[in-house]
Amino acid sequence: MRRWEELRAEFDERGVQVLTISTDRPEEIRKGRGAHGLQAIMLSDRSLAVTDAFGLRNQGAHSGNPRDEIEALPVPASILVDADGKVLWIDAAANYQRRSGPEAVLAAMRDHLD
Amino acid sequence: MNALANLGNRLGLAAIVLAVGSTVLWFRLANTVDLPENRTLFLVVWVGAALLGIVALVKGGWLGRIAAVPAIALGLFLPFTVSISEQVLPPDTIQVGDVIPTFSAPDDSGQVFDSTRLRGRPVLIKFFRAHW
Repeated sequence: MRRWEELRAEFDERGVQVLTISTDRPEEIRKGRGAHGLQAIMLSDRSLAVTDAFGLRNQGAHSGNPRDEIEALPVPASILVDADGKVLWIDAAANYQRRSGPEAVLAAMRDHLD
Repeated sequence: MNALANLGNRLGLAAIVLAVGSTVLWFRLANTVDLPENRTLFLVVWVGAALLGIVALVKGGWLGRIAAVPAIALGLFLPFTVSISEQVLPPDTIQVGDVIPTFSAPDDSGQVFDSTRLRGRPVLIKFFRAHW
């Protein structure tokens, strides 16, 4: 997540907005934003309503912290969407320890937006 | 230096060096999103460290035993995290070419954000697993 700011100039050049969705509480997200200086719209999806709307609720073992009182976690995913709301590219990690890095996102922007 | 003459103690120290060294490397790679697809070598090293730790616990003196306990803990816990890291998508995951659903959710200042505000410009949406 913190590595995304490496792409700030690439986002700005293409007019790409960045939106993040996690099950963190708003105050936890605020703390993380302060620590990493992320410029993005950062949403809290504790009920998993947004995660479910995109079909990204992980059906495998729930490895979240039980004290978080979250039913499940989203599969880590990056989705590039055009100005009309159409999905251009999606990368959903088969394994949360191996999600796509900034290079994959940059390649997708070059392929689909340039 | 008598403590180092004991094989169990040496095994215990080897176990902790292996376990901590491989764990540090693991988290460095995780931090830069560079973990290898094939993580077998990490698993072998961790389980190996745990086994060495068990031998050290049996054969070693106090030094070997103190080193062995965290080596066993790391050597068993990290393979467990690998085993539960596989992600399974539901059948209705959004696909390329689909139009994204409309949604609203609170942002980090507690204000409700409506997805219709995204229209007109491309957007990169990132779902992630919570915590920083």
